[in-house]
Amino acid sequence: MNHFRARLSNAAFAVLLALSVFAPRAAQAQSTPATTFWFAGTRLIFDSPIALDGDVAVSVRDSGLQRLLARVGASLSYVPQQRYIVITAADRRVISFTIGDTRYAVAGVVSTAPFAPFFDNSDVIVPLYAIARALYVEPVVAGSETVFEPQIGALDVRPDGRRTVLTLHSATALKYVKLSETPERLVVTFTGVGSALTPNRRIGGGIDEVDVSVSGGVKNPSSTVTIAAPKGAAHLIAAAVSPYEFSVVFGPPGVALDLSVPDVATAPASVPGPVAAAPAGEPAAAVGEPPPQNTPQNTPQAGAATVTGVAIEPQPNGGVSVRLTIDGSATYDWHRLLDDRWYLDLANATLTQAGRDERPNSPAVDSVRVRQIGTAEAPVVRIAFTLRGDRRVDVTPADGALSIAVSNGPEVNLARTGNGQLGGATVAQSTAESPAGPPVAPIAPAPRDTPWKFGPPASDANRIIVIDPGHGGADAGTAHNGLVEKKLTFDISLRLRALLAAQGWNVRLTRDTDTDPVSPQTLAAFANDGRPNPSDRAYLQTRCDVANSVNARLFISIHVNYSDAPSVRGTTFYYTKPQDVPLAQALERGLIPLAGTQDDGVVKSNFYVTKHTTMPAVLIETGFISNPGDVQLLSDPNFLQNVAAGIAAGVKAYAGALPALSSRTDQ
Amino acid sequence: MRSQRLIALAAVCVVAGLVVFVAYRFMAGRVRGGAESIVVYYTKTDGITEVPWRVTLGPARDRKSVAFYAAAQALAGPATDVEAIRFPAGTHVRALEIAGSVVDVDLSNEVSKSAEGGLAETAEFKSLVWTLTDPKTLPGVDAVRIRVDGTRVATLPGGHFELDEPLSRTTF
Repeated sequence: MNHFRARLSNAAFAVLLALSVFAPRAAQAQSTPATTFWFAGTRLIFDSPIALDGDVAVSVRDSGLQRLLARVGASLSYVPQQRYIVITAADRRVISFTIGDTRYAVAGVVSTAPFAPFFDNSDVIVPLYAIARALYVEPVVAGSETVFEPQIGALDVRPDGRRTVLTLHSATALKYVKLSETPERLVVTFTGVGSALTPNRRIGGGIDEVDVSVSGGVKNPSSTVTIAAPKGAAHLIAAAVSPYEFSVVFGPPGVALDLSVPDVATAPASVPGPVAAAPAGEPAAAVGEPPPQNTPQNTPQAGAATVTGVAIEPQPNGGVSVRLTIDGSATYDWHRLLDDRWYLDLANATLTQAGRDERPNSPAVDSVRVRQIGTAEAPVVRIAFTLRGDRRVDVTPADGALSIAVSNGPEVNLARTGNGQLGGATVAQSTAESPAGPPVAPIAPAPRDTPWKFGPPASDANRIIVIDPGHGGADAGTAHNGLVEKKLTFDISLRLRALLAAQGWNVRLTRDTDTDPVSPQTLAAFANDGRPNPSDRAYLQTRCDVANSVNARLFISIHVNYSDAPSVRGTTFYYTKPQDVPLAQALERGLIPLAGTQDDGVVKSNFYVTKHTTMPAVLIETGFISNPGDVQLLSDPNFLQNVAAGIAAGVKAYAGALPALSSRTDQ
Repeated sequence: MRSQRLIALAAVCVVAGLVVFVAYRFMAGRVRGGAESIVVYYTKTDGITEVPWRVTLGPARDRKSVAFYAAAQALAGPATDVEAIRFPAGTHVRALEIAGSVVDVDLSNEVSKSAEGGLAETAEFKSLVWTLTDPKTLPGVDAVRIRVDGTRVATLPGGHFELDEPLSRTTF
């Protein structure tokens, strides 16, 4: 009998286990929902919806789900053989489901769905309503219909210095009508959206109260939002970051409400701090740069820190080291300025002793300063060096300490900025050449024209220089604000050709008309080499070959940049090979003072033309066609001439005076 | 009696097999046994500075799931009120494989629809490569091969950033 009981209990256990593994499949035996689905006046037809546990189960490939996602600007990713289903909402929130788990995360906040996503043969089935709600779409059952009502799903209130920014997030584009407006109070109506927000809420801070009321039917809702600020405040409706958001900035009298203008209160140096402000001219890294949100998805990686000790010591090699003894964890940013100053800001850190200001007897360092800056709420400890020229600086975080070592040798890390953390959290240097990154071949300021791989022998007598006007012909490059990249690059290149020819260079252009040059031989050679996109590569290789085939001494590619963020501006000098670096630096020093653009620095990248040319090569992104200030400059022929003159000056500084032209050769 | 023992033995074997199977399924999501979160990077608008932020992982911890999750987070980027250079809207992971030290990521074609400049292309791929080569997220992975719509591409149209060969941290 005992044996029988044992066998019975074993069998029952086995059945339970089997059920626990395969239970989701059994759940498929549910009915098709007897309802029609609607979204914003359009009927949504799902391929094979199944009513399940109060939700509706659909495939990740269901065309109805795909249409719903497209209508709210979301995209779904699922890769077979792994367990996450990731949906990215229009506002960049990530919604992640896991197969076999009812829990799902919306921007890091965990919720529970009625059922867990499960496999159905090669398909994956997901809970439709849970997805909709995560995207601020509420499924409302009305008789025989289910209406997916887009809603205002979230309200963010963010302090920005003395300003307060209020942002509404919606499932669909927010189109508003002002109902009434005074400086302290704004009433707007959004048509076509309901609201999931609490009707009335007191906010505090820069905004007193927000009231939301919904009217209309489920199929045609509208939401009226009333925002009230303290007496005397003013407001400005901010330019929308995305059509799914609506932002209003409130602030006291005299505060700039335009978010593109930094509020002076956000600059650490302008706020009375416990000790002296930052050294003159050293910008605060955080100005105008909102930190990552403090949400479960986006958690700061360090807490408060106390700097309990500062040791400034000379090094045997002539350098100087600063060692900070630190309690707690903190993040830091370091910055190298163009005038040989270097500084590091330790965020959320307090200095327990007086600041230091020393002039060590060092050939590498002129002075060292350690200061408490920032505010009482956001204290920053800054360590600043005035270097004696281009000196190498190494930052080494460790448990309870941070070491900054300046050596009496040239810098090999070309990055101008970086960051990291200490105190047990992941150390993440911001640049590829950082100490925390993988081993990187040092980028030495190589002698001029050092051969790289299969490059031609260097020769100061070589006077061929190739200018590459980016894009051309059918490839217009980027085009915005009435400007077209291929025309600008060609204009600058023609001006540069004239200037370089006057210096004695034999100048060759990769294109001298509005064409995108390609060599038939290169096309044919690439056609069967088994590598991807032979056509694209052939076009770019043709430009490289103009220089490679004649062993040109230098190669300069002219481009114009673009960014989705209109605030991004400036000139960048891109290189790929170590031998490109001195040329890039010389061009930077020549161009920036003459053109007057923001110096975005010398940056390593992976551009085809700088990678596949055999001589020192630099790609210059002269300005941003997407920034109003740069557009104004790029529209001015005088600016284009200054850019050309700056490049020519850089070439001259790099190559020196060319030897007298021989009667036998033009090289 | 002997047959009863055989039946009991068979039942034990079946149960043991089921237990092993269930345990395998349970542990498959925890093979790394590792962290509850991973570090994802985004690139500041200066185009060069990588900023880390932590993202909570779901229950699945196998390498492919984690790689996919990390890539999807990097493509989404941080919240919209954080100034960052982002992949074009709608860009998502179509497929992903890990072969040795290289993650092969197939991106949707939205990535090439926006004719961007060199800064954006460099910054976008830098954030993706830094995310997938973080040694604590995917130990042993040091390079990322990019496909677009299932096809290897030489460059993107805007900035001519080369995607022909795997990208690593030293690419940037």
